[in-house]
Amino acid sequence: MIDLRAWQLGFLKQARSDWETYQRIDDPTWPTCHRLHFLQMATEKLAKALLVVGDMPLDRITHSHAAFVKFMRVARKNHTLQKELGMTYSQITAHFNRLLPIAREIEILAPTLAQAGPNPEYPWFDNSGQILVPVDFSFPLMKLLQSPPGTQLLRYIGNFITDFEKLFLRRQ
Amino acid sequence: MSQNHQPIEAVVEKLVHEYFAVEESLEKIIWIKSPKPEIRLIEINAQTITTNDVMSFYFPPSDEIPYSMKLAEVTPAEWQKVLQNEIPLPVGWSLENRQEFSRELVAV
Repeated sequence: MIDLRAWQLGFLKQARSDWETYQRIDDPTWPTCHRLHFLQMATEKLAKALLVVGDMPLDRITHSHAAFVKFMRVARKNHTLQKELGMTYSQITAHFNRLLPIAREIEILAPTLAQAGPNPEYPWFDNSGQILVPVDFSFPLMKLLQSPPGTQLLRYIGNFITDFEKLFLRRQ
Repeated sequence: MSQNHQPIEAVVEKLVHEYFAVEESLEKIIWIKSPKPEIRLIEINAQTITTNDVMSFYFPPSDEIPYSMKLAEVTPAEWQKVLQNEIPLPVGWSLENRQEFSRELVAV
């Protein structure tokens, strides 16, 4: 018998560690690729912490990397979150819709979703056949994260991870 | 343990109306009936991304929704694959006891 609650806490604990590492190295002295790598991993595990108790088979969860955008889309329907943000479903939907393109950019950093393109882990060929290396690459996503919706998305990610029990576990 | 004063059918109906009213791209909602006191919904929405999985997220009961909820979103193409058993349902879910809500049949 698989203890799904234990798996949930496992994903959450790792998400928190990834997020903490992201925050510690979110500094221009660190290569962008490493900062984005930890951000992508934190968001993926945050989403998986809710998938693992949602009846999705564990092997499909661990083999998938596209979970964060669907999490953001579905989390809008969580009444506890609506209440916490002081928004109706209609308002939170409109609000989150502005954040989803950036969430998708974070999600497709995962090498398996990057389609042999820019990712924070492995070198890739550019259009001219030149090998590009993550540590040398200037990720356009960094500018998006500094925009107002990007800043807001990062704040939400932090809140979701920090307040996970309050938002996604306990009855209010 | 939540106090489920509201019948689950009424809660599902309320959610379905709310979702159709807000999400213009939402085509259909499938209520997968469960022997447990929980609401399992699959929303078919052309605007969602393709993952080739039925990713069902769990949310606990709240004051407004006194049932735990398991919600998934799939594209119309993914839903066809679910119907053809090419994409598996979450563990313990079955299409046999389902109710479908389409926009045309729900007065928004």
